[in-house]
Amino acid sequence: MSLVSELPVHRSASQTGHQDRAWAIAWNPTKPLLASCSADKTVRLYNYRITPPSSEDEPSSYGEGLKFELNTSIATGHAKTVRALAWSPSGNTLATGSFDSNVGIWQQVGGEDEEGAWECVSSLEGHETECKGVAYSASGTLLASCSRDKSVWVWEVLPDADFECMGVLMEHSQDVKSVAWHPREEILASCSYDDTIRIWIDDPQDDWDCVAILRGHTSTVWSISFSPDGDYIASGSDDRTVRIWKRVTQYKWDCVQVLEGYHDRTIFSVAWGEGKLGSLGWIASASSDGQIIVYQVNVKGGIEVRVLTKAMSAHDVYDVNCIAWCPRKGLENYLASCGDDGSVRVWKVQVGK
Amino acid sequence: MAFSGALTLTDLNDYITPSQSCIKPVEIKNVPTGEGDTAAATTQIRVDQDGSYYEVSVSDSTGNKPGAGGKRLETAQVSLNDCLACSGCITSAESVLITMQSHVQVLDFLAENATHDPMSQKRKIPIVSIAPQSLASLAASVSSPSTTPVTPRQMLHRIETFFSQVLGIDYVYDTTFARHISLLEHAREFFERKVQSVSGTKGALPMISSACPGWVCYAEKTHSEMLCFISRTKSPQQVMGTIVKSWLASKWSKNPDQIYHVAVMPCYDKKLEASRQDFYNDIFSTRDVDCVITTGELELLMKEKSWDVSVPVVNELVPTLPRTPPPGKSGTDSDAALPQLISHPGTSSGSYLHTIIEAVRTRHRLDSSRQDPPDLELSVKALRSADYEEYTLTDKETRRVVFKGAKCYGFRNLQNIVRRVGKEAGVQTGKGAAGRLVGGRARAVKKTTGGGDDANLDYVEVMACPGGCINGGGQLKRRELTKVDTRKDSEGYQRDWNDTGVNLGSGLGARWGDKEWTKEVERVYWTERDLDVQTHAEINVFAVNMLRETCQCDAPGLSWSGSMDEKAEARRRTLFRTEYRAVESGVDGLLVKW
Repeated sequence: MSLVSELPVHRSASQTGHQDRAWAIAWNPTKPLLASCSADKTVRLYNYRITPPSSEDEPSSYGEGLKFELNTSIATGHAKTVRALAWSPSGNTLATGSFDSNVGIWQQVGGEDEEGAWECVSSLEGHETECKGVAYSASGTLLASCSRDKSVWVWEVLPDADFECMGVLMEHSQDVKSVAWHPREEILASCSYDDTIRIWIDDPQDDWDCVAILRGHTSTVWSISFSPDGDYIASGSDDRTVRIWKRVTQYKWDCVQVLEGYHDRTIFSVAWGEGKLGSLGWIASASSDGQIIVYQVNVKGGIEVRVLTKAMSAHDVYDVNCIAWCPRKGLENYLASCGDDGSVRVWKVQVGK
Repeated sequence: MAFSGALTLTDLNDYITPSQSCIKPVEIKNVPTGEGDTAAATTQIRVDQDGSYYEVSVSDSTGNKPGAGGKRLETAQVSLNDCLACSGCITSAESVLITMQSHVQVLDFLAENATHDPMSQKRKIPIVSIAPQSLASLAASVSSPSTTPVTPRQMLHRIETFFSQVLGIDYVYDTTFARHISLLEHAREFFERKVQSVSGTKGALPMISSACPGWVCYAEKTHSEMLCFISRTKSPQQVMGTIVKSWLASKWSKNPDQIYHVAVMPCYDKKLEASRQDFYNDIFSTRDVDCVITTGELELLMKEKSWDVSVPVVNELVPTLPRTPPPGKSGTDSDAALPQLISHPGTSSGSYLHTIIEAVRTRHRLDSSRQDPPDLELSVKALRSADYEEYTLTDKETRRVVFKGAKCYGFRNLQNIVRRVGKEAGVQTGKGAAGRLVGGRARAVKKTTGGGDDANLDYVEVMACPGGCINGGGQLKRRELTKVDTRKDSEGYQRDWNDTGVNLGSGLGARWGDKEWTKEVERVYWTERDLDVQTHAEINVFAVNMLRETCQCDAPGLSWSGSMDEKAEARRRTLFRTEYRAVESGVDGLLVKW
C-alpha cells in the first residue's frame, strides 16, 4: 500500500497553524469529489483526476495515480464539530452530522453546468446531543442519523429538500456511534457504546423495528460496514477486534470470524470495498494505534480472511479516525483516511506484485 | 428503585425518554469553618453502614481510629420543581415523580388526616377525580372475552365504592365535566386566535392543543418557537383542579387548602403538570391538584387494599345519586354534584380536534346570511398512519378550504408537525445553529409545483403517546394471562407450550403498547357513548352557571362563548387559562468526555 496523496490539512480559520482533527471522509459516488469534515466546523471538498502512469505528477512507479486539488471549503455554520458525512447515491446531496446535534443537508446551488456554491438546503433537528453518524440508504430515499442521545432517527427524503421523520429508534442503551445501510435492501444497522450492533427494518405492521441484536464485542462498537454483496457485516470495536457477521436467515446474523491480534488499540473505522481481488472484496480497518490494515476476503466453504497489506503510522503518531474505499469503477483500490493530525490521506493498494 | 405497577416511559418505543444528564447544580454553602479545617487539601470520603457519607481529612483519620469523626455530607436532592425548571431531561425524572406523587403519598395523607378531629379546620376533605381513559383501561383489564364487557360507568361505580368503603373518600368524580369546560374554553380561544390571525397577528394560528403535558414540556424545552401556538386553555385535569378548589370549595365554605385533590390519570407526565408553578395557590399554599396517580398506581392501590375490582357492586348500572356536601356546612345536596361521564365524540384523547371542527361548522352556519346555509364538507386524509391524520372542511359550493386541522400522536409524528408548522408559519424551528444553517434555503431550492390545496393548518391535536391518551404511559398493561392457566390448552389439558413450539406471543411477553390491546381499551372507552344522561345543551347550562359563580358575573343571557365584564374576564383567564415559558438549556454536551 502506498501513500498517493496527502491533502491540505484542516486549519481553524481564526488560529493559523492550529490543526483540528479530521473526523470523517466520504467519496462522492458519481463525481470525482472527496469530502472531509473536521472539528474546525468546515467541510472540504477535493477534486481529483487520474494521472497517467509514471507521469510527472506521480513519480513513483506504481502505475496510474490520483491528483487532488482543493475544490472548496464550506464553513458549515454548524456550531460545533462536524463529525460525520454522507453522500446521497446520486452524488448531488451531502449530509453532515454535527456535535451541535443537527444534521445539515447540502446542495450545490445553480444549474448542472455552473459550479455553484454549496449551501445548506435543510436542517434536521431532533437529536438532543451530538450527532455521530449519518447515512443514506441505497435508493437515496431514506436518511439515518445517530447520536449520543442513544437514538437512531430515520428520515424520508422528500422533494424540495424536505424531510419527514419516519422513526425514532430508542433501543440502544448508550451512545450510538455509527449507522450503515444495506447496499440494496432497506435494512439499517447501528452500533453503539452499549457493545451491540442492532439491525432495523420498516415493519409494515408497525414502525421501524429492531429485528436483531448482534452481541459479541466486549466493548464499544465504533464502526460497521456491509459487504458489497450485502451478505456480511464487518464491525470494528474498542475491544481491538474486527468481527465479521454473516446473514444466515432474513434477519439473523451470526458472527463467523473474529480478526484479533492485528490492532493494539481501539478500532475506529472499518470499510468493506469491492477491492480488486478475492471473492468478497477487501476490508480495511483503521485504529488509534495508527495502523490501517487491508484484508482480502474469500469464501471457500467458510469465510477466509488474510492480511493483504498494511500502513503503519498512517497519520504519524495520530489516531486514524475514518477510512473509506473509493466506490467508483476502476478506482476500487483507492482508500482515503483521515486522522487527529487534521490531514486527509489517500492510499493505493497495489495488486499483483 | 422499583417503580409502581405500571411500566415506565422508557420501556416504550415511541415515547419521549428522559435524557442522560441531570444538570441540577449542587449547592455548596460557604460556611465559615473552624480551625483545623485549613489543611483540607487532602480529604477522603468515607461511607458508613447506614450509607451516610463523611468527609474525613487524611491527617485526621491517621490520628484517630479509622472511621471516627469527619463531616457528614448532605445528600443532593432533586425536587420536582428542579425537574420542571431544567432542560436536562425531556419529560420526567421518573423516580422523583414516583416518590413525590404516588399512591403511598395518598395513603400517608389519609392516615395523617384521620388524626385530626372531623370538625377541625385541619381536617381536609379528600376528593378523587378520575380520567375516562383510566376508567376504560381498568374496565378493559377486568373484562374477559367470554362475558359481557365491563363499562366505564360500572368501573366508576366500583371505584367510588372502593374509595368510600375502604378509604373513606366520599367524593369521586370523573373528569369529563372538566373536559367539557376545557373544550368550551378551547373553542372560544380558537375563535379569538382566528380573529387575531385574520388581522395579521403572527403566531395565532395554527392553535395546538395543550392537554398533553408531555408535549407541552417538550415544546418548552426544545421547541420554544412553538409555544405561541399552544393553546392557553387549561387541560381537563387542571380545570378539574379549578372546579374542586375554587368552586366546590366555596360552595362548601371551605378554603382551597382544606381539600385534598387526587387525580387518576393515564399519564405520568400529568404529575409534572400538576406541579407547575402556575397551578399553585400562593395564598393558601396549595395546588389545584395535590397528587396525581396513574391508572396503574390506582390498580396497585386497590390490590394492596385487597379490593377486587372485577367484582360487581350494587346498583352499578345506574347513574350515581347526587352526593351530599360535607356535614356541618351550608349548601344543598346538588352542591356536590357534577355531570357524569359526558361523551365527546371524536378521539379517545379528548376530542379536541373534533370539537373545533364542530364549532367551526356551527359558526359557519350561524355566520351565513342565507336561510338554509350549506354545511361544510369534511374530508379525512391519513398521513402514514391513524396517528397522523389531516381533517379538511371545504365549502361545498365554492370548494374553498374553510378549515384544516390535524391529529398528531406519537413522538415521531410530533417531529413532523413541528417541522410543518414551523415552515407554514415561517418560524425558525430549532436552536441557534440550525437557523444559521438554513440561510441559503430560499435560493437553493427550486419549488416543484405540486398539486393539492396549499391551505395551512389551523389547528392541531397533539398527543405525545402513539395512539393518544388511551395508550398513555400510566395505563395498565395488556390483560395478564395469569388468571387463566396458560399451561392448559382450550380443552383443559396440561400442555407445555414451549415444548410443542406453540407461540403464546399474543399475550405472554407481548410488548406493552401492543396495538391490539390499545384497540380493546379504545373499544371499551366508547361503549356507552350513547347513554348520556344529559345532553350537551343541558350541561352547557350547568357550565355557564359555574362560570357565573366562579367569575362573579351576573350578566343576563350569558353563554360560554360570550363576553363578560373586564373583571370577570380577568377571573376567567386565571381560572381556565395558563401560560408557558421556554426553558433554556444549560447543558453543554461537550462537557461529557468520551
